[in-house]
Amino acid sequence: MSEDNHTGVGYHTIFYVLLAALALSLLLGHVSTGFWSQATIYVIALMKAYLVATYFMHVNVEPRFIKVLIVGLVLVLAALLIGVFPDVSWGVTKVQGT
Amino acid sequence: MSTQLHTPTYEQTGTTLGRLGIWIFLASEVAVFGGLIMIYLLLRLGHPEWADYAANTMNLAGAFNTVVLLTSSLTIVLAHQAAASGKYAVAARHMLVTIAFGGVFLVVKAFEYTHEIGAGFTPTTNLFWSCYYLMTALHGLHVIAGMIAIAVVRRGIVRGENPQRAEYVGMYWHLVDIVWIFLFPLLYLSSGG
Repeated sequence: MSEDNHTGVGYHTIFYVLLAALALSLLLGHVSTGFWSQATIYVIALMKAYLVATYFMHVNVEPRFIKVLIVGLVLVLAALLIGVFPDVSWGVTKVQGT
Repeated sequence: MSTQLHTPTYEQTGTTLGRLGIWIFLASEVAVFGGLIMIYLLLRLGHPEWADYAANTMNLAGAFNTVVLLTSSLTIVLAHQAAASGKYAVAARHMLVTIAFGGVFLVVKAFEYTHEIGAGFTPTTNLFWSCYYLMTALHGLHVIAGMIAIAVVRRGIVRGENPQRAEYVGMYWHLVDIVWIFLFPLLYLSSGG
C-alpha cells in the first residue's frame, strides 16, 4: 500500500525511526545517569513527539494558525518552567513533606 | 488530499471543521498534561533524591509499553489511510488492532501497579509516587477513552459511514502516544542524578 503523509516519507519508515530513537534512549539511560545523557534522552523524546505530530498527525499540512496554536502552547509551558525554575533551583520555594 | 476527504475545507480556516475541532480539543489536553509535566519537572529539579525513587519504576515494562503505543500509532494512521482510500474493511481491522494494543498497554500498566503497590510504593508514599500515579493513571484513563472512541468510530467505518472520523480519533490517539513519549523518560529513565 502506498503511504501518503504528504512528505514522501512512509509511515513504516517513521515507525522504525521512532523505535530506533527509543532504543537509543534506553541505551543512554542504561550506560549513564549523568546530566548530558539525561538531557539527550529528553531531546530524543522531543524529536519523537515532533515526528509523531508531523508525520502521523499531519501537522505539516495544517494552516499556519494551527501550528501557531501548538507552538504557542509549548512556549507557554516553557515560560512556566523557566519562570518558576529560579525559585525551585535556589530553594525559595520548598514543598513540604517530600 | 487523503487527510481531508469527505468534509469540506473551509476557506476561512484552511482546514476541515472536524480537524479544527479536534485541534482545539487536543490543545486543552496539552494544557492539562503539559501543566502536570512542568510541575513534575520543577519538583524533580528541586528534589535530587527523586532519582532514587524513579529507580524503583519498572524500566522494561515502561519500554515495552512505549513500543506498544508507538506500534498502535502506526496501526491507527494506517486505519485512517485505508478509510480515506475507501478500504473500510482494512481500516476496521487496523482499528481493532489499535484497540488490542491499548488493552495490552493497560494490562502491562496494571501489572506494574500491582508490583509497585506490593513493594510498598503507593500514591501516599511520597510526592514522587503521588506524581507517578496521578500522571500514569490520568494517561491510562485517556487510553481507555481512546479505545472506546475508536470502537465507536469503527462501528461506522464498518458500514462505510463517516470515514473521516478515523482521522479524528487517530489524532487523539497520537496525542495519547505523545504524552507517553514524555512520561516514559520522566518517570522511568530519570533515575540519573
